[in-house]
Amino acid sequence: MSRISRSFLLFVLLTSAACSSQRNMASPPASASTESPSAVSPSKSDSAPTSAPPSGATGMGLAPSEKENPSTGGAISGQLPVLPREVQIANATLLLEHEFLQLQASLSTCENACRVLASMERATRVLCSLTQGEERVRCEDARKRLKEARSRVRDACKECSNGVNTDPENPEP
Amino acid sequence: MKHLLLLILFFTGISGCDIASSPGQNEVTCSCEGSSRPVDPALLSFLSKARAAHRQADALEGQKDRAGALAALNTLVSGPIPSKRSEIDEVLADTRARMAELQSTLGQWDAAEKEIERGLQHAPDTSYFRGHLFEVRAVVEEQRAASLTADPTAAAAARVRAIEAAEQAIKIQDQVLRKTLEKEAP
Repeated sequence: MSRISRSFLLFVLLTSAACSSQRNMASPPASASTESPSAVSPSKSDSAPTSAPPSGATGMGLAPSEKENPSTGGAISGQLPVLPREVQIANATLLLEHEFLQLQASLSTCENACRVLASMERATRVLCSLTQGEERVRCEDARKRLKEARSRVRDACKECSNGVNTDPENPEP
Repeated sequence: MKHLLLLILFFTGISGCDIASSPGQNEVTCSCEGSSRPVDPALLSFLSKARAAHRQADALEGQKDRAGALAALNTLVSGPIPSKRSEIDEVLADTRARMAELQSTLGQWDAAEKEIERGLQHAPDTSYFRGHLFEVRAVVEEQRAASLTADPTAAAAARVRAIEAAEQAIKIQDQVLRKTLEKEAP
């Protein structure tokens, strides 16, 4: 959970930073437009469609205009090019988003399985509390399913942090 | 609540750059330049509101104020809903299920059933949320049956509905569990 929180926090911070950067670019000083012709135009949804993003922004490369623009840290002979800040942030955001999704997916499998098991357990409890006589077979079917489900969750997750019993031999409910 | 919080965190994380906002609306969007995927402030706002509403409902339920908890959740479902997305539907389905449980504890059986029906509209496919709604329906009908001591016919009908809903919940959750663990299998 703490890893998720950290990743999430980082992600939000980076996203916010990227967005702040975007907002700043959306209302540049009058002279800015002449310095960087490829800068993104204001992207208000009620205005005309946003112009195409600079080519460098779609990948790891630099926009041609930025290579020529020393103020953005363009290529200098003998040195590696420095990506503009907004491109760095965007790339970092994408990487972090990818990492976050992978982390979340791996951590959530057992949490998901356990909450599903909890729901099955509650439904089985209701079913078995209401069935009697010949209907009892419906309760037994539900218990059998629950037992198999517990077994599968135990194999995959051992225990459930939400307190749901994963012991297939547990007679409850 | 913990799951809802995780869900909201997860979706907030995704929405960082994933949400394509509805075109033509006067929303302040924030384009993430590198990915060309704008942040949707309306979605973030909704998820934040959902978290706050559920927290408030937790606190009120802790004080045994179930009507207050219900009112807190109602502000979420009756307020503006951002453009249709699966994560929004999941939050709404989960919230409707919780509202149905609260209404059931207040003896408002018909209102609870309406919440479940509304919730099912947000969870049309096999999912935990759909299974959970059937599970809640089973609980609601079980409680309704128990309350209808003066009307054995109506009680029997409620009992039948409870059993059917419970079986449906078990069937759905069994499928969901298999899918969930299949993904994890090597």
